[in-house]
Amino acid sequence: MAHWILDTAGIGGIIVALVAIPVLIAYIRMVRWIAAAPRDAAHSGATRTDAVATTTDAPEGERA
Amino acid sequence: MDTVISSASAHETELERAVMNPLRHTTRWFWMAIGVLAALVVLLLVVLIRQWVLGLGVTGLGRPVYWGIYITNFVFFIGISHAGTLITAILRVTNAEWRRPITRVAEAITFFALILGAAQILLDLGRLDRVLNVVIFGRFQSPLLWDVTCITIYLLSSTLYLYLPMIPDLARLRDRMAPAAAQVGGATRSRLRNWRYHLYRIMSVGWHGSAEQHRRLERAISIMAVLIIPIAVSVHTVVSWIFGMMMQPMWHSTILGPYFVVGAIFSGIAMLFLFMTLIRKAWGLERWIGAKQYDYLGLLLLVMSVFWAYFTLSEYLTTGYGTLVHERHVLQAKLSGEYAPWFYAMLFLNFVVPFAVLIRRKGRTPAGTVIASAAIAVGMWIERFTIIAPTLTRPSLGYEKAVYTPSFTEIAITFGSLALFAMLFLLFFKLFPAISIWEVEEGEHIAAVKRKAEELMAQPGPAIVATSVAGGPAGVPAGVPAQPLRNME
Repeated sequence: MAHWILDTAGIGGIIVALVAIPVLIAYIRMVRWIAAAPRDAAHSGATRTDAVATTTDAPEGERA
Repeated sequence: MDTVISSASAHETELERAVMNPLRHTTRWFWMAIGVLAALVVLLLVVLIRQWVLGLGVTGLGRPVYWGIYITNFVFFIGISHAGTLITAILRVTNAEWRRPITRVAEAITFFALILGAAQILLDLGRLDRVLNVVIFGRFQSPLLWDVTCITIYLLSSTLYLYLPMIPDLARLRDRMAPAAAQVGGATRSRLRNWRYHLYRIMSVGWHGSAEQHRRLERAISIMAVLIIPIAVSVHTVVSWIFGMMMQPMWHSTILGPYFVVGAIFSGIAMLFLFMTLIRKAWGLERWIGAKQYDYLGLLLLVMSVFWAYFTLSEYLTTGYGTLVHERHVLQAKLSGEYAPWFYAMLFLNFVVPFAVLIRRKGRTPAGTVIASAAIAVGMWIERFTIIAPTLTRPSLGYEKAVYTPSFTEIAITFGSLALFAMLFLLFFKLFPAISIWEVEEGEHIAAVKRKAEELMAQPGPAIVATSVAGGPAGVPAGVPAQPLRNME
């Protein structure tokens, strides 16, 4: 069995696909999981693109 | 430039201005550099088409030297791809704060080096119409298939690892561009024209920066940082196994795996220094990429140089004592034959120069590290060449001793590939910030909180510091924002 898997032409390509495709799907799902995160209740409708809040933050209305 | 990122607003920090200015304004020097690189890329395309039309006969390749400069380039590019992902992953996992300004550059090097590395294999195949045969007829007992698997996973992982920390910065660019698009007369139409705005909007995947989104992002980055270390190690180990699994003199060695990994990290750090310094100078980022990065990373480069010398000594000493007939011929070619100049140049460039420059702290400056890194970049390319060519000119399968002389086609493709790599790198940072703005801001914030906490700890009085450092809103020292800190642990 193991010999057949190793030695059959074409099986190599299938193994590459079997590894690569689930990895690709997992990575896409990871990005979607980040994108789907809920907004802060206090900042609903506003965007915060800075790392941490600072005392010189622009008023919410000035952010796109 | 047809696209306008809204000009610096009152709320823009010094970091934002410094990082975003190169995206807004293009200097004459930038276009001149792109012009020179583009000329070399055109040369690459011309000789490439010629090779495809006429076949591999236009190269110096043939039996028994079936691998030459293309595979040298492949190993070299895959090696320097360890610059980003592996190094920054290790620095992230160990929470080295000084990594923050240099991670983006390092990760971009990985991405482009991997693409160029994989392209060298296509060049070596000669006939692109047979590329799919690798998959259709591939057998998994071949290390070449292992390599395809590892490089595919590494490319996917490195792409995500480059992309994830870019998301908040892309959202920031999206937000900076949106008002400008509206101002340039007429909302929808100008927005349609504004391809950069759309690019940032799509790539920022609706980032709104809530606490939960930040938490998820940082969790994903942490997972990827841990995952990518074994993936990166596996890639260069498997590259070495392509050689090591063959009964060829000086290839069939158990030390080749770690030797290649060490060489990859070594050349990767050197390449990081070269490109980091280029971007620092060209984009005016001296304030953020400074003495600390050069000192610490220079020390790491010095350590890797010593490791590389140790592995080289182990490899050659073992071969020399073994005195197996075929190996002796290859060793003699390197030590005293036609490859001796290459071999000694490799030792000089990879060990003598970096050791002499980096051993003293005064040498670990931008100028010193660039000198050492340029030497290493050339030295490591020669190292890859002296692994491949001497062995194949003296194979163990009964062929006569061969001679390998790279043709103009191979040399032109090599320089063209390097030019394409540099060009893609520069154009990438014309579109995207060269420094991870939010990560550097986070680092500055953490440093500010720690400084403030230390000051308060030093003062006699009620202890109010502990909770603030942990991130709770209660007990926050004056002058430090009350926002809960992420990634403080």
